[in-house]
Amino acid sequence: MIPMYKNKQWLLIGVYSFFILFSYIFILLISVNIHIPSPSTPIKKIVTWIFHL
Amino acid sequence: MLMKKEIISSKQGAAMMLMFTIGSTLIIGGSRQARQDAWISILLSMLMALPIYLIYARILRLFPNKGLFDIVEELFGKVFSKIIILLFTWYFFHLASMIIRNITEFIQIASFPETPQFFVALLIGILCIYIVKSGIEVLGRLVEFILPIVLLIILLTIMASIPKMNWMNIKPVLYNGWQPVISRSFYLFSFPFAETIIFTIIFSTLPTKSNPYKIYLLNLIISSLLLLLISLRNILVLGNFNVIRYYFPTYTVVSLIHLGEFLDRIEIIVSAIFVFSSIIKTSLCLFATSIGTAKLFHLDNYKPLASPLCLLILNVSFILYQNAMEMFNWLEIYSYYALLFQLVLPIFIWIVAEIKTRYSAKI
Repeated sequence: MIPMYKNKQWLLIGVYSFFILFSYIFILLISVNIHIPSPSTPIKKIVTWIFHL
Repeated sequence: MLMKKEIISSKQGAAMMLMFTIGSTLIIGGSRQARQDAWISILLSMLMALPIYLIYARILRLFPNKGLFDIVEELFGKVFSKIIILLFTWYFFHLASMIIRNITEFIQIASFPETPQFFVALLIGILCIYIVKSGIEVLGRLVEFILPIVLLIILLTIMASIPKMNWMNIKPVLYNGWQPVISRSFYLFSFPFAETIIFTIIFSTLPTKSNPYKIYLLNLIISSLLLLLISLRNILVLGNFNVIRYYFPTYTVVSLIHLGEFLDRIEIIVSAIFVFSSIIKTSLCLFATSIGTAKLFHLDNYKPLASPLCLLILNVSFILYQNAMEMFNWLEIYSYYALLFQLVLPIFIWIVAEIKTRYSAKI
């Protein structure tokens, strides 16, 4: 973060912070046993519906 | 988006592609459901992969020194290109999560049943971040150095399995008909052959004079041959009923090798190869995901994004499946899901690229 700040890369800092924050919220939710739906489930449903599997 | 100074040789590119193709396929195998006809499935999938490999190479040839995302931006304008880049970025992100989950499941089942999967995934993730931050050249040199060792160990384990082989296990040929063979070859086409779409991004770092056709075709021949040898070895040693009973047949076969009274338990060397090749595969996916994300946000440098994206990949790998059985069931769906990214979008991009380049050449 410090080199990005020194180079005044504000957009990069924004994107970086967004992903880091998102990851930590994710970890927090997992650690307190809150169920996060898997992305595989909706994909599976869509694929099964399209290809009639 | 890759920085100009990053250049890999054709040899390093070919080595990376081979390592990527045999990567996690070595662990979870692609054709065991075809039982004794797995070798026919591999040959069929090789034929199926040939035209799509030519398309990937053609896309690269039409736009030398440009990655897939740059090509898409040039062909489709601002809005539509963003949608395509987003789709591909998601695919590589998801693929990286799947590979990490494959390897952590393998490690937990085979070696460390008491160790939490997330801890193993974290160590792999740290290594992947380090590789991506070091750059594609470092990865190229690493793979170029390690690939001969990997190939040597694979071939030695195949040779050491010869005394355990029963040649009757390969018979009867096509006992269950063509249907399972064709369905397995379709599965092998999407995993691992057509996953090499990722190299349309990585190969923007190849020198201009290099020939993408040669690299793709060389990879197709060598990786098919390796998968064929490994698959045949598994069937000949385990038999067609046992080969589908094991989640990791290659690991089981290697654990059976006993040479005299001095060479035993060599499966740990093979496990190390599995882990290493999967780390290479994950790193390449992380490269592609970081490049795609940087492209989406108009960033000059993709490297700082490696760590937050890898952390997110680790999290997603954790919630992807409930257990190993679900992971293997998902692999059946994956073949259809991946068609969009491996077949539909590349063919669409290729057609548009051909039309646009010919049209601009006429002008």
